[in-house]
Amino acid sequence: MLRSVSSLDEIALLNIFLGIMASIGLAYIMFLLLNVFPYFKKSRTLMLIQVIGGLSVLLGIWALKIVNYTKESLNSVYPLLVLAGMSMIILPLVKLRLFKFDRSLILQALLILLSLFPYTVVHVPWNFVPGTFVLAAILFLIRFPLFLTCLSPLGMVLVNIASWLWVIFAWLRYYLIQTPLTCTSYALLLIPVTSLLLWDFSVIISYENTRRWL
Amino acid sequence: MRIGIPKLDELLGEIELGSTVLIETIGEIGIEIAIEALKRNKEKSAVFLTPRLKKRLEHIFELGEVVYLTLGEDFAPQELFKVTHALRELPEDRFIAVFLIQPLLIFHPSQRVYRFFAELSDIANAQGIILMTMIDKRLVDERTLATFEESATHVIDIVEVIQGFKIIRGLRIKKSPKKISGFYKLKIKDGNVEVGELLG
Repeated sequence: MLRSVSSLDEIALLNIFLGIMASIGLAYIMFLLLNVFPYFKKSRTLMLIQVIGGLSVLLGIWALKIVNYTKESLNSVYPLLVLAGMSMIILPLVKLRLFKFDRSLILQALLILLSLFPYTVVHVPWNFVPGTFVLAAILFLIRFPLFLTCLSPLGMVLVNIASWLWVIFAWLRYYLIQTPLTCTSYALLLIPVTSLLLWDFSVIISYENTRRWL
Repeated sequence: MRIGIPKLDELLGEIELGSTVLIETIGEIGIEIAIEALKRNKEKSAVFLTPRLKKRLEHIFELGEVVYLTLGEDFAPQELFKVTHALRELPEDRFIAVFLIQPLLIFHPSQRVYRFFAELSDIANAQGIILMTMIDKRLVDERTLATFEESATHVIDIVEVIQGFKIIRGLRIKKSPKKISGFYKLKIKDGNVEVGELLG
């Protein structure tokens, strides 16, 4: 059932804001890839796969935001859309040897998956499980500007900060389910907001740098 | 060889065959210096570039006399061996090669690009080719920049300083067999480069 929208529904507004920021970042990653792919031979199919993947992630993220807001039962298709979309974004990068598995990425992805541990002891909705995989998938997108050398050293530091904030949020998000929502919950949402703001900034700069040089 | 910009030529002196000139810049500022060198020596030049820059050059002058190799058309970013091969096979009358190193840094780690750059520099030295290249210094750390400088014989450093509401651009000779210099005012207007007075 739809929750009635009060005039001061901050959580809904923050969620919409998060969704918009994630969409902007994802859109710029797709623009950036459209700059890069023509340099590789026979890359049209790979480019198409990535565009479909990007749209799939976008659709999945917004569907999850809406489900989260309306408190409807979670359809497992939505997290699958995000994960399938992510695979479609990553696969061409692996094929073109542009995907870099570094120690920080592995460590951060593991830490996000380990954030499922409190789920076994705290009573939380089951959608926290697929949600964890979605968070891990978004981590790949956050670290994406590091795969291509198109950021200044400061930009790289910002991406690292954004990815660690994302990991911290994965562990603290259990505080978001308490009712009534306290100040802590709102403050907690500032973590992903900051993370996505830094990410958007880095992706836009990366896009500008690749556009200038390619 | 002379670039064709009076003050810069005075600061650099005659560039000997086999030299490697590295332009350290911010964004694309100063690409006009390489273009000026190409314009002046187009019948002796070879250029390694991106399709976008090729279009830009076509607007400036007829590319017919220049040998060019285009990233994404003639070689993929992974096919660096094709570039070294092409440089070795350059016709004997060509002695200037302008090379954009920055696009490669997007696809490869800086260490790999540096090894490639050092190889290009060695080939240029052995074949008596003047190699002119550009790097966006904002996108590499100081250590990487220093390694690139080590392989170059001449380094032109371009800076941009904001003073109040004005942007002041400067240029200096950071490395040269002749002498290094202080910062001189750099003016770029309608594609024309002018090196002005010494900045304080």
